[in-house]
Amino acid sequence: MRAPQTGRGRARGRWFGVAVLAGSLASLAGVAPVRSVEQWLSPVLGVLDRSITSALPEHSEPLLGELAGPARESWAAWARSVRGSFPVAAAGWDAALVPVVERRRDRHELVIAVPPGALREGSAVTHRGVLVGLVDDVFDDGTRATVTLLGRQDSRPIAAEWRPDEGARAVHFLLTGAEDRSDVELRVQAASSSVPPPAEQLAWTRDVAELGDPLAPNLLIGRFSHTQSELPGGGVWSPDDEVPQLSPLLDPFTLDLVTVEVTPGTELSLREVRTRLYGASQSDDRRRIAAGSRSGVRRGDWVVQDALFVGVVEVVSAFSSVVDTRVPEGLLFDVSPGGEIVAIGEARETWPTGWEPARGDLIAAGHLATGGLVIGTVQGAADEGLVLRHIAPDPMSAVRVVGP
Amino acid sequence: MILLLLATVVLGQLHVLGVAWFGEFVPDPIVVLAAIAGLHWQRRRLLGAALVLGWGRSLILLEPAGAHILCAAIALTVVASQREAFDRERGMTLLFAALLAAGCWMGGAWALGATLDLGVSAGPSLLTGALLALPIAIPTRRVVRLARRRA
Repeated sequence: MRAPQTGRGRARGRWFGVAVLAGSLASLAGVAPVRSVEQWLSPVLGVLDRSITSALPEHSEPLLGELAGPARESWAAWARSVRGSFPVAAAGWDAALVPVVERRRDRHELVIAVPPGALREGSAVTHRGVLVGLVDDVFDDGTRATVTLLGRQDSRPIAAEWRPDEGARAVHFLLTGAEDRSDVELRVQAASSSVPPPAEQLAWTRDVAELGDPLAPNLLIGRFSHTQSELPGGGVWSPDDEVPQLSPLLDPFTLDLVTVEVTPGTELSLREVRTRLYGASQSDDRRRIAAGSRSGVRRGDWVVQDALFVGVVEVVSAFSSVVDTRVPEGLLFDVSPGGEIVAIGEARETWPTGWEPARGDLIAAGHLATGGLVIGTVQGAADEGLVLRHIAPDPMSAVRVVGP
Repeated sequence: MILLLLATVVLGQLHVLGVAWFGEFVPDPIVVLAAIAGLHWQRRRLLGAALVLGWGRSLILLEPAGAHILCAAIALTVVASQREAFDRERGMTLLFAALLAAGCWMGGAWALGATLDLGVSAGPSLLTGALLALPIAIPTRRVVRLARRRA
């Protein structure tokens, strides 16, 4: 017979219960360190995993070979579009494609991955020919930089212009930020003419290299719209009462990919880790890879297998990582059998008005390190958005983990 | 505990293999392990058993361990509370206990899904898994008797 539990034993048991309950709740809340600790026992899986993986039904995805080419083309077309149709770097500089790695809405900043030692303070950051902001600070390790977005109060004034007609004399002005950071606004100051811009008039950066400002000319900065000024007491509206207002052309916080001015010949080098998938540890929307923080894997890295998107790393532990295999957030490409490419998101509200995906269309995504990647094909469209048939990875083939 | 963890992980991996070949109704042996622990383990060790069962299952299914630990704790507590009602010497007892554990696990998963909007895997394989209690009831009883004699 075992001795009955003592008071100290009961207290220990109670504390153990409290610890288990607290840990479980933290796990349910998705607390990152707890989710990481949960994976510490994953080496136990390795004992049988290879044998089970080799015993799984044979993997066959005949469509993948056909879809890889269009997926690559869709990404290449997008990358060309992001670079812009005219030079977006100042003379003597190159424009390099780099990913956005962090969005700081409260400070109106982006953080981008950059090639070490290739930037200058004030390097222009653009997207499809639109000036997004200027590099403000490079991190100590040289691999990331902070971008101050247009419209922030403390951003430096930018020489800009608009032109009423082809061949007409340009109206020059200075673009500055608004007073209130929480409500960022592009402000037009010191205009060279009182002529109001017509509605929908675009404005762009001006060439002031002679004054020592290296910012490239012709970068789009915004579009004029007109708002009616207040008429105290209720006056009769006239066009003269309208106040021209410059609105940004894009929401910088939706961007995944931008260009930044770099010294010629430099390119962003991306991390890459080769590993394998666990065959006997998976669910409908998660897979496990046999590489973790010890191999350099980080949360948010992409996992790919040849031209196939496998997922995004969600939880990292020392020896293994959990990969979320759902459709990645951000930009997708719908490629029809005829080759038409439409940039969309997964949700219906991101689709062009009146557009619907057709059954069988390819859905692709892309990453700087890999190019275009196949995600799957369209099964249909629900109220929420795309219904996809995912193409599954081959558990016997190696995968690559890539990230900035 | 270590043996229970290894059994949970190895049987869970074999279950994944079975599902890959034959579909989602392939029996999941986790409920039989839960029934054995609930019927025969010392009460003060039940929380440890729930921790091991839930953690092991979450490693296989890649879902938050907290969800499965709570489900396992519910299942073990309910099964253990019915020990006196069960005749632990009868072969069918393990089957009934496994069915009870499966129901509790599924109920816990449903409750977590409904309250926290979490997808916790607890499908029909738990119910079919209870059927595994039939072939192993007699060997389990012998092992338990042996363990009691040694204790």
